[in-house]
Amino acid sequence: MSGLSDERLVAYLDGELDAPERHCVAAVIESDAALRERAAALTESAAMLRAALDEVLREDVPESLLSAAHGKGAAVDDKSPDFGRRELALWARSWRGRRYWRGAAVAASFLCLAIGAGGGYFAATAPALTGQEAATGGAPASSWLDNLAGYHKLLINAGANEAGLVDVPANTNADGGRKIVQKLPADFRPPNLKPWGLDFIGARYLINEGRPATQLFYTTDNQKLGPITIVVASSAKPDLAPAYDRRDDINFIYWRHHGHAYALVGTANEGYLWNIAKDIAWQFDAI
Amino acid sequence: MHIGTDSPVRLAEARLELGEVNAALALILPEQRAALLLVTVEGLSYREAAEIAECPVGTIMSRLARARVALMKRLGAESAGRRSTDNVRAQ
Repeated sequence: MSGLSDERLVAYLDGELDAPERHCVAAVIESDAALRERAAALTESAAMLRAALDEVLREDVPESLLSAAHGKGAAVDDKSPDFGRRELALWARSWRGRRYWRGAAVAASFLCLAIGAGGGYFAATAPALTGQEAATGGAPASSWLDNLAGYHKLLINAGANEAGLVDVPANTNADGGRKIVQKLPADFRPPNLKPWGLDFIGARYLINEGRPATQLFYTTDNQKLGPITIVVASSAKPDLAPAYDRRDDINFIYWRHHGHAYALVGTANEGYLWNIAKDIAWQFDAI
Repeated sequence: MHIGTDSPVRLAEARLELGEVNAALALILPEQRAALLLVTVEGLSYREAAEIAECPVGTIMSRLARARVALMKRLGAESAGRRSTDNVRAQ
């Protein structure tokens, strides 16, 4: 095979080369059977990527998913993308979001303030946890929970490769998780959920509803419990007491306090999540 | 590759492909994956992707090439023989 680099070959296939270089690469490909085969394989895999996603968009969407996507009572007048497509799109969006994250005045202590304030609020309201949405503040935007469900499914689908989703891996030394909180005070720790069989593996930065968020990843060998994610995001909405909701097969316990939104996300049953949430609240409160 | 039909067989195949694609993407480094999704899925130019990623176009070019090769190897290993190379002519 010729000395044509993969960079130039892919750029050629993507139409990113100028005319003289394009003609040059075309001539090289024309004269090299192995290169033609490689170009075909590269094109085929890209087409497969796009086709898999496009096909999902054409599928009929179950009524239940439409209802979840549009909210109760909303008119079902269009087709929502399947979560498979949504997950992949979110991957790109979350990466785009880093630009915002870096540039925004989220400031160094965003996560610290969010978790500290939210933990106290949660603890204060924990005795009244009933699973009912509090009247004050109203429910979160349907798309917010839908997005979180998509992000959570990314973790589920990653399976044994979940570490690949992590932007900031958990430190494996005694200061586990310290790396994630380089922007936070030294005494911050991600909640320790080992008693629940959940291991903290790291975090990633997201943009959800146009606002920065942090997603903490916890995994487990317990298939019934499944992986858990905790999302902390900034929010301009009023405070909201902890409540339960469900999207597709993903359960949520979420609340808002002092300009931040929180969500515990997982496939475990509601009661189990409430218990974990209480534990998380207790740990946040202790920070 | 023919897409857009409503046949159950085709839809089932699409689901299979989506699973393969998800698995393949999970194995690609985050920066490379981002370049792949921005350019190949979302259709951005290299320059636009570079602006979003705040890196030189050459870096996007490199990341994308690695991602495309990784995707090719992963999907090729799992679906060899299932598809034709007609897309080369189509693209």
